[in-house]
Amino acid sequence: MEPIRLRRCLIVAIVAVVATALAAWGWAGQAVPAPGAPDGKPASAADRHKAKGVGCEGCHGKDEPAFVPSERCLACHGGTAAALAQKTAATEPENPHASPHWGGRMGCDTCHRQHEQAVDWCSHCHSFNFRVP
Amino acid sequence: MDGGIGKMGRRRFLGAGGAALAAVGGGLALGSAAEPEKWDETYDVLVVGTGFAGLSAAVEARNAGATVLVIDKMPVYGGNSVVNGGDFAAPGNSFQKEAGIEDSPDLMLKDMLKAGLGLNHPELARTVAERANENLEWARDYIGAEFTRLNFHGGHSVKRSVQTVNQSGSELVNKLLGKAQELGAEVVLRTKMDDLVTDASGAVLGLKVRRGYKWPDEASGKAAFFRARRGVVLASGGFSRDTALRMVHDPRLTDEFGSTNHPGATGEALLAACRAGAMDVQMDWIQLGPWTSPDEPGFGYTPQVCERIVGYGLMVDPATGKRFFKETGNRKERADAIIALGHPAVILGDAAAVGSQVVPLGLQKAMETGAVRKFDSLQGLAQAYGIAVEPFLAEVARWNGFVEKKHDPDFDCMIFPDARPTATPPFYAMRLWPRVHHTMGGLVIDKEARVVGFGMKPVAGLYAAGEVAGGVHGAVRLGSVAMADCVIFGRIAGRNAARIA
Ligand SMILES: Cc1cc2nc3c(=O)[nH]c(=O)nc-3n(C[C@H](O)[C@H](O)[C@H](O)COP(=O)(O)OP(=O)(O)OC[C@H]3O[C@@H](n4cnc5c(N)ncnc54)[C@H](O)[C@@H]3O)c2cc1C
Repeated sequence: MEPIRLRRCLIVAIVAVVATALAAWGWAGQAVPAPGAPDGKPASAADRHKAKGVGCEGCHGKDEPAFVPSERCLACHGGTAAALAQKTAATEPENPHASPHWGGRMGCDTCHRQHEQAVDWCSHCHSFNFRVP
Repeated sequence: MDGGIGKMGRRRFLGAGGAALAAVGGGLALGSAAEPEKWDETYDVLVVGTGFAGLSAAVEARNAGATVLVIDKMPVYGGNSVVNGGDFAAPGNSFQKEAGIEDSPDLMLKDMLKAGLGLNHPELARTVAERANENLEWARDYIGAEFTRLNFHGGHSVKRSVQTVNQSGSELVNKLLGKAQELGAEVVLRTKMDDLVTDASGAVLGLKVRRGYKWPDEASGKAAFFRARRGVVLASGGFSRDTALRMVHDPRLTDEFGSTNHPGATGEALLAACRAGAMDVQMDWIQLGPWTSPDEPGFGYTPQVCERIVGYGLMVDPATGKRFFKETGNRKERADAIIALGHPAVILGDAAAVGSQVVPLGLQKAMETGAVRKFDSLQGLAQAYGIAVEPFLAEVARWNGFVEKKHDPDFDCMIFPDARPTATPPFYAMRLWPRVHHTMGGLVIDKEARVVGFGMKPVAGLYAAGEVAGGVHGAVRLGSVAMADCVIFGRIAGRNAARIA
């Protein structure tokens, strides 16, 4: 896997500041504390969202904490599932957002868990070794 | 994995069913939920599972005028169906006609009964063989799934499996889902069925579920009650990933065996049905797939290479360099033979076999994972897998002689008319070690997809289809027959569940 290319994909795919933290995360193998997690615990994706000014309501609205519909993620990340898939088209060895199984119908939070360790759902059957932010 | 439920032993589990039977007519069926004061949702038909069977049922139930809700516990839809290989067996299909291959439902039934050791419930197996082609056409013409290739699967007498355009069941699942939703069926994920709700007579009224279930966190989700005014269709799939439950029925299938299945292929919905009085059958016939590679996880890409070259190339025991089993044998025989070796087998094909039989993209992916490797010479191949070169070359020469004569006196491998000797470089090879693939057993159903209870009568309001049902395949399911089974019985279940009692 070619690091420059991967990093570029991530930068395009994710909000730029988050990506900076991610690059470090990738080679360190685990999340580095981000601003907003002063207790030294690894920053969760939600912490990183928060550090960017996207607090609880930014994702959950006024609802009680619940699963966030993918449309809400896409509002900031790509606009549509198809557009997001285009942005990550160069990811090696596969485009994670263009699964031949679910395509754009896969919920973002299947992998991009915000309050716990992210998941590489493909790894149930494939060894793509995606680093999931 | 569903530890709590899976831990229930067979005796207790049958005992529970027996108690349910005793209770029918006398009050509460043990283990089912009682009617709540208030239902949270009400539909005519509730379907559990978003695979081929559940979505086919949803389409038919909608078309029969019922309101329909389909639930699935996972964060993604499609179960095994959406990761499947896309092969659909149908005798007399249009691809066979084009290729001049003669086939018939009777021949398919014969193959199914032979592999199934005659344990198949004959009327169920016959329904599949007789209706497979009309249902393939339904999947193609009405649902809009594209099928583009004709394939062979071990244990069939002829090439009769038609494969989706993307070599994946996702082609059919996505089109079924689109159709079901277009017709107005609602589909919700992360909603887990915990129990059936029954009335005092044991008739099924609906489901006790957990909304917001976060697989695999058993503490997650909030209980809710869903009413089915007309019927419940269980299409919750098999239990290949449920180590505890599969070990109840086949103690050899420990954690040491991986599985090709989607991670939610566990048996809690099936067991909930048993607790409510449904009968189970042939639960200990659990199939391992002989074409998976220890060099990649799950189903991976290897099966789509291996299974295309049987009948064209040879499989050897790396310890001896010699063949040891019929490459085109059925899954169970082949898996058993590999397990008996005690180590992975190696199968190979030359450039001609692989080039003519394997979809190039699939080959490329299998090579990228390292599961399939390419060699310029047979010597190089042998050395890479630690096979003694001389006996191996002698065995390839022997095999090539059989290929010339289209007859294998050693193991009776079916050698295809267009097969050529394994002689043209490059050579492709892969290691094979079986994984748990399909659970033939499940709920007893009749030809109308009604679930039969321990009273030997249908459980009112309960239907089942697909891998959660047992009896269709007997001891061994032949490759590509599950798709036909799921679509056929899913549609029957959906139609019947939508009937007003
Ligand atoms: C990798 C692979 C490749 C295969 N290739 C082929 C092939 O090419 N041809 C062929 O004919 N067969 C093939 N098979 C077999 C075939 O795909 C399956 O038997 C078939 O998909 C089963 O369909 P189903 O609808 O019964 O269940 P599934 O598709 O497994 O769907 C069941 C659904 O029910 C859900 N569920 C389970 N329990 C609950 C619960 N308690 N509450 C709510 N939801 C629940 C599950 O999450 C799942 O989504 C393959 C299988 C695998 C695993």
